[in-house]
Amino acid sequence: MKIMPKYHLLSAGIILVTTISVLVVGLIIMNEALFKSADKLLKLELTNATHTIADTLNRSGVRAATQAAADIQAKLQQKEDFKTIMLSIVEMPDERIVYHRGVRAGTKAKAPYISQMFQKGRGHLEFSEGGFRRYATFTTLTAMNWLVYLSIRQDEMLKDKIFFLKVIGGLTFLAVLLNSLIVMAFWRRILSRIKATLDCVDRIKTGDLSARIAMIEGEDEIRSLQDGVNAMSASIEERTKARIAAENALKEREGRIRRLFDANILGIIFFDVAGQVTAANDAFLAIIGFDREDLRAGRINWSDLTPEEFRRRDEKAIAELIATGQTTPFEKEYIRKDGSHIPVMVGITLFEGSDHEGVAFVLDLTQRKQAEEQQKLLLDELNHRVKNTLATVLAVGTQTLRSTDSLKQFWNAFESRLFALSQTHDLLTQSGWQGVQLHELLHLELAPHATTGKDRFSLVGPDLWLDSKTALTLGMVLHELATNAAKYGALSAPGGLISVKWDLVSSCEPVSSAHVLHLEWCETGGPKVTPPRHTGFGLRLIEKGLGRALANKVMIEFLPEGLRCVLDLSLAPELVQ
Amino acid sequence: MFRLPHLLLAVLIVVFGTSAAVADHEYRIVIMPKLVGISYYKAAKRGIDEAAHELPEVKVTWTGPTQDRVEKQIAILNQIIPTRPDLIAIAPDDRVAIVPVLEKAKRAGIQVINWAGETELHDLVVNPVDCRTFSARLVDSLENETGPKGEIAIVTASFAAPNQMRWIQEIKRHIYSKYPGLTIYDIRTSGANTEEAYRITRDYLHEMPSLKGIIALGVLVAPGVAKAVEDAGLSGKVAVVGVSTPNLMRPYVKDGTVKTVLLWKAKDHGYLTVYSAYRLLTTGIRVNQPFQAGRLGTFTPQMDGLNMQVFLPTLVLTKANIDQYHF
Repeated sequence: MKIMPKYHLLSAGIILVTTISVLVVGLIIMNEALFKSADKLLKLELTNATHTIADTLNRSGVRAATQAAADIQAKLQQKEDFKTIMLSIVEMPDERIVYHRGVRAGTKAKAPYISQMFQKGRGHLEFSEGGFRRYATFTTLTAMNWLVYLSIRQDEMLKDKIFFLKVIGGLTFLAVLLNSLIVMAFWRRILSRIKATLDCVDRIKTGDLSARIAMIEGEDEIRSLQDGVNAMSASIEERTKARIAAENALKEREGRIRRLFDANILGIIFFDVAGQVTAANDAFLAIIGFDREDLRAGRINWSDLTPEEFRRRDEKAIAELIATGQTTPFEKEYIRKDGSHIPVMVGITLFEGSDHEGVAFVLDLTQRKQAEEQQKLLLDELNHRVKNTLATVLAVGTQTLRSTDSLKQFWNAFESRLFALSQTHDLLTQSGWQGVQLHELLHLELAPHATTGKDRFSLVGPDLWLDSKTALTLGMVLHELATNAAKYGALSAPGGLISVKWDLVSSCEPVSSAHVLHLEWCETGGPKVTPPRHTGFGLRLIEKGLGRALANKVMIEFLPEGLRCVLDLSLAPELVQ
Repeated sequence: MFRLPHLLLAVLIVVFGTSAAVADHEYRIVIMPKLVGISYYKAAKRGIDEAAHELPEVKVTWTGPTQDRVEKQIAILNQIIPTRPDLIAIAPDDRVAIVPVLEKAKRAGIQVINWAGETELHDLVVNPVDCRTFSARLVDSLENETGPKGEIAIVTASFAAPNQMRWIQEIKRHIYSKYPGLTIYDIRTSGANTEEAYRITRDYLHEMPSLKGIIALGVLVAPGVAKAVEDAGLSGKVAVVGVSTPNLMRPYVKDGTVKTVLLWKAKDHGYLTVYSAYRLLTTGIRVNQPFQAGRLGTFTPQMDGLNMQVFLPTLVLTKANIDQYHF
């Protein structure tokens, strides 16, 4: 319940209780006072009456005395407060009435209270008569032995009570009501101030940092409270701002870390020293081949991930970690989920202020290792190739020397062949010695002869990737064929044509699953062909070189219309696409 | 409270033994009438003197006011009390007003007798008459003349004098019980004043033509009442019964205006008072224990209400015997 309804209830109760109390107490006092004052008045009137009666009696006798009593009775009755007053005289012997309005003198008084009055002589008495309570004060006229008494109805005696009820009760009610209204107004003011305070507190509660009680007045406890609330609010604002700033800084840092974490450039894990990995990014999971479900289920434990032979290295790292808070990055391996090992570089640091939790950065070294291997392979390859090339050059030189007659002829032929070899090398170097397209190789070898018109070559066949060894050999063969054609064949005559067709065919040899390149070189339109006197280096190279190196079959025909060369080359299966 | 003076007295008696014997045989009694100088008390005084003569150890002091005023009585008593008489016999003029001074006397160790009209404070009442029988006889005598019906009136000396008030009460009581047909028209006071009684009676007769009788209480009242009736020419028509002396009433009794006068022997009243005082001081007086009172013979104290009293026989004066009495 709120204060004001409580107050209203309370003040209504107080008004009621106070008014009733005042009325009750007032009535008791009033009754007493009214009784006393009426009693006093009655006694006074009785004394006066008795004196008058006694005087009259002594002066003028009994009859005059009763007449005096009648006069007194009439006079008293005219008075404001004595409408019901009765003056009575009763004489002692036989209790006969001497005077009582409306009763014949000498009548016997029957009321029992008369005897009581006679016994007491003087005083006051209450009795009932005619349905009313009456109050009587009485005395005895000793000389005559007369009982003289004045009686009055009690309701008349106390009739001022009603007036009192109205005036005092009303006044009390009004006074208490006024008081409570004033207090209420006071309370309202207090409450409005308390409400302002509460509103401010509510605003503080909902997070309004600028909340302040605007109107601060007075110099009382509420003022102190409001000042306190304002001070508290200011303090909260200050601290909250500081906290928010700190949080923002932290968030930014966390964001950075998160970005680093989520960038998955590095494998990152959060762990404890016991081996449990508490968080890991996708990069790490990818490295070790586990998935996020494994992480969530707690199945990832970096000590379990570590192969036996790296345990010592780990222990060393942990010792360093404990000693310095971080490790110098070191290489090790992890056991992937599939059981394979993966090389990694690991750098670990403990969290600030923690001696058992930290973060580890894990770099996958597989590619580097592979690169290293590739390099080694390449060096080996280079060595091999250089040796091969030198052997090839030596062989070409030897063969050229044998097939030439003069030094000049030798030099021309040797240079041309070395150039062709060099071009193929270039082509291969461009592809990193991985291999070349057959098309490119053909273009490379035929291009020098294309100056006289493109339509002299017809190249028909699918794209085909040749490994370096095949390319070098085929390059040499094509060079020789093209040179031969330019010297003696189709390219030596203006209308000569060269048609090159190739296709992949399946090998008919059961031992090899390799594909076979079937290539036909046909010359037409050249001078009439006659089989040569002796086989030149070129054809020998083709027949011997290819046959030895890679060709399944080499067939050279000197047809009258032109030279026809058919080659079948086995290709490594991965090269066939 | 007053034991110390007694003790002192006892010591004095022992020390001065010779004078103690004299004190033993002398009783100082003060007797006070309502007023001195009227015939009734003169007669009573004669009885007092007679008794005092018969009782040599009794020394009587007779003193009283010259007017019937209670304050005079009180003033005299206040002078007497320091002289320490053994007993005071008083005829109080006001039975209430006199009480304080009598209390003072009692505190001084003085015994108190009421000898005409009782007060609330006394050791003994020496009533001239028994009030009840005396009052009844007054009413009976009146009724004898008026019959049992009609209105009567009373003239009394005072409403304060105890014996008269007592008589009025007893008169009323008797009328109520025996003659309910008689009604008292009025009771008026004249004081000890014959002229006032005369005037009152004249008023009565004027106001109440049907008035049948008048009771006159008081030695000086009755002659006034009788004279008024006689002067109004109503002798024999309005009955008069009175308390008075034979000397004052003789003419009206003789001419028939008054048929009955009631009284007691005033001299005997004084005589009995001295004897009663003497007995009270010497042997003590108890109810129903008769004692000898000189020539009057034996009297038996009786309770009258709360009072122990002795009283004289009523003297009824009529035309037949009035000449035998002269006071």
